[in-house]
Amino acid sequence: MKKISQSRMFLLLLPITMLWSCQTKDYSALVNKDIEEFRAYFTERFPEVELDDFADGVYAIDDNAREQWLAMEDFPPYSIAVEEGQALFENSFSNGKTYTDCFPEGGAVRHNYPYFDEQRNMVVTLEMAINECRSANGEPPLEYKKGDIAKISSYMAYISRGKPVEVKVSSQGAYEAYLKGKEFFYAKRGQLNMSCAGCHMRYSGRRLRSEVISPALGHPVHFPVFRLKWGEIGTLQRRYAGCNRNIGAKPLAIQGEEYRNLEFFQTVMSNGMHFNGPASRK
Amino acid sequence: MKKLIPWYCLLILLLSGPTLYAAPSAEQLILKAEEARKGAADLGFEWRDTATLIAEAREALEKGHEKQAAMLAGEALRQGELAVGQGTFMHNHWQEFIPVH
Repeated sequence: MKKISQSRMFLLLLPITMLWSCQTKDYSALVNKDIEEFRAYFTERFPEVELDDFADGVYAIDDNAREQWLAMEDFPPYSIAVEEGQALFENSFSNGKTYTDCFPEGGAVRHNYPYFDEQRNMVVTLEMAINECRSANGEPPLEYKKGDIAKISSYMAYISRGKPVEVKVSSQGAYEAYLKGKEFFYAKRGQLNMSCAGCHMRYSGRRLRSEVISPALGHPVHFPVFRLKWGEIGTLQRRYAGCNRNIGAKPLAIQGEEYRNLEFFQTVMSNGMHFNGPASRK
Repeated sequence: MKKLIPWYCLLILLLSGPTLYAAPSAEQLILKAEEARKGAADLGFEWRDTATLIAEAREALEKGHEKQAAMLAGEALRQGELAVGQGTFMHNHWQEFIPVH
């Protein structure tokens, strides 16, 4: 009789215990372990580079390129985009409201993005929030890769400089989005069978034709960027599409689920660093 | 007459051989390539040039260039199948490609 009641008790408690353990899964601990390993890869590869300096991309690891870049920074090519972005940001919508009605702190909120929206069960990026602000105020959405959205995003990044990256992964939904982004980052794709990690981890610091490949650590914190190749300012996801095309993969939808999750993962990996966008790059 | 039956059978086989083992037409290849491309796209692993190759194959077929169309569609099919294989493999094995420090 005693044995039966014990086994019954066990059967009763098992699902409760399982449910409890699922609910209290420490996603932050799982993610922090990943961050630690990701960061260790780069700090061991480039021991002379300070953590925050990785925000400068390839210019943190290539002295010659850094000198040229610093010279360019005297009159940074993104400054016009920042000015135009400010004007666009301060312009009133047709209903009389402005972006400040959507974004607090006068728009200095770059550090709040991307984040996982629990209600919508999806990652929200800054560019997406800009377009959602427009839609909420009866304005047509802007094209995502470049142009006005990149300018507004540049201005918001500029006035958010120095703010820490603190992306939270605190729910199962957020962790799943994070894992999808992580999978995208490490999975090889395209005709060249290459991954983000293949180039920007394994081959970071090595040459690809005449260019040195940048380390992945800190990639999202300096975007949007004015690329000399583009001759204009562009968003991080525009760069994702270009990278995918370069390796012979069909670029995915800008601000689609895959790229948003990738941006989420990459930004989580930059936690503890500081936003320093916009930036100029070759 | 009975002696001729095996010869008739052989003749039928020889005549039907090319029909039975004929290479797929350009149109069939285009359909197969499109199917493979969609499969790769569903996995999120479509290659950059597959859709272009299929479009070029369709254009060549419309112009009556069957051989060129078949060649282009064949390449698109090869790409589509490789992309499906790549996507399927990566979904199951991506963690093996995390570099260790």
